[in-house]
Amino acid sequence: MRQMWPRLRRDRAAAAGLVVVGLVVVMAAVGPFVSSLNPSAQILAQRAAPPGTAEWFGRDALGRDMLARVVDGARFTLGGAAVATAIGLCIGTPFGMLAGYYGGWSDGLVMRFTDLLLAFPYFLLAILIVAIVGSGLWTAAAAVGITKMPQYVRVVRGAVLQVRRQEYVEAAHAIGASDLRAMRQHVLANVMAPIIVLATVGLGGDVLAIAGLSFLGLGAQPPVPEWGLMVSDGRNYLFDAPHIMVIPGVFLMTLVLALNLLGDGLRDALDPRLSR
Amino acid sequence: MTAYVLRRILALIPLLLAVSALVFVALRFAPGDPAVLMLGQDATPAGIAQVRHELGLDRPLLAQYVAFVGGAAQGNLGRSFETKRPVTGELGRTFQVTFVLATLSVAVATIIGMSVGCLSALRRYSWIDYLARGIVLGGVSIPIFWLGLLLISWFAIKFPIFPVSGWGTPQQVVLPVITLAAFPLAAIARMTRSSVLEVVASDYVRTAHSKGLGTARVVARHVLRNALVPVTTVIGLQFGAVLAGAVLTESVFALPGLGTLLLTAVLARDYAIIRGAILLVAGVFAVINLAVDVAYAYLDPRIRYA
Repeated sequence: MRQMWPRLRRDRAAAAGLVVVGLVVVMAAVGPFVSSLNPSAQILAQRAAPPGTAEWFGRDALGRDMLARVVDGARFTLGGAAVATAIGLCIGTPFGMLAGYYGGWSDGLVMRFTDLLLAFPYFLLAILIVAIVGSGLWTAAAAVGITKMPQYVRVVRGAVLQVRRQEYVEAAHAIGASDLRAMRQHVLANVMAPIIVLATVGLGGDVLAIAGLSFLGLGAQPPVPEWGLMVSDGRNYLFDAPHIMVIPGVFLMTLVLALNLLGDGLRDALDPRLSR
Repeated sequence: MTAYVLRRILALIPLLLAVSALVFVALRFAPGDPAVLMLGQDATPAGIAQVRHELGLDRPLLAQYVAFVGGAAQGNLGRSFETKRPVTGELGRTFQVTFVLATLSVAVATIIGMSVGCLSALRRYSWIDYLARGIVLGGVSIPIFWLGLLLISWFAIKFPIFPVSGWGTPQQVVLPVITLAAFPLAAIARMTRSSVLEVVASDYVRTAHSKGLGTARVVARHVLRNALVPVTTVIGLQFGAVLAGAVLTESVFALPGLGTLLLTAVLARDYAIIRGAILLVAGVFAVINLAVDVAYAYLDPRIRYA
């Protein structure tokens, strides 16, 4: 872990990814406090105004400033991905530890359940979950999180199986540590690296999945300026005002690209054996 | 091998039973009553009860499930809540579209992806390699629904070469297939590149070179054959991704496929269609995974299934 930063800094692609992700985070954090950027103010006379000098990115079909909406949307896109990752991680990790540490029937039960979740392509599973729970940005994010859960269970279980019989874990038991303490202090510390890798490598895909659900009308609902939903808003104006569809997509792709670069870099930095 | 395949096919039955049970239980807890949704806001309680009875929703969950499984075993998945047409017919009609779309996309992605990955590995650190890695990065990062819309606005609106939407003519297939192939193409190229790089560094490839074989022969006989095994897994996995991506692609191009059917069913709470579609997808997904495992044994004689 300690060697991570120097390695990551040397990786120029990953550093560029980190800078872009940082910019989006700043956008999300500062955007709501910039008073000249009002994502909901409509100027009906300037509906679908093209990008130009008045507003950099023009206005959407309802006469709202595209720049303000894109900036405002950053926090929803990032927030959704964060929620999805947190859910996958916080549910998957304990179950993976349970299965790996105790084995036996608890292992069988957890693994059969993850097999069941893995019986579907994950985006379709997310659609099914949204169908059951109802649509909305946060339920879509939670659904994507649940589809990620099996990956965490598998990785954590595998890592726990490797360290469980190590002498330091047995030593912890010998000096009277409870199962819970041994797991938290000794096992968890050793599975952190793969968990962090899994979480970052998956972020780009999470953003895409949530944006996709929003695009289908199952995620964020209007007037939330989530980027996938904004692309969907632009579908009806492809002839006259393609910028309504193009601009949020450029932001979406740039963010996903940066997250993928960062994730790959972090994977190589944390686990040099995996790099090719 | 035959015994292994038969055993895997038999194992499909408990999987599909578990999947349908999960869907049944999950839909029971779903908010929104299909009967209310069908009749509208000002439905009378008697009317709602009538419709619930017709749909079989008033019976105990277990009875509904047993009836569903009994019907499914005989190839009858019930009737759509919405259109009253048989679910199997609806699934068959729409799956044709999705199947053609998915198969073409995976085929295109495999051919181009493997070529790109191979060239990239064999010409490592050249401009070809950097270009290929750029394509890979773009392919896994571009939102496919956005790619579809971009293709429409360029190749259907600005330069009207292809139609904007619809299904039936060969021209209508081109843009959806490009859209759907982008992600698997990138994934396959990435896997091929790293797999070929690994094989090229191995001893038997050096031996092949040193005994005087030409580069083309070494690549064809030794490198590709061995690099193919991990690539097969990725191709199999991409089939699943493509089935899922088809929902978005079909939505963008207004195609009458399984994804569109599922999406409408989800929005209308048409449980019969949702159940059938999920079961079909899980079955197809399981068969693909089996096919990948069989392909392994074929490509790598060291792998044997008992």
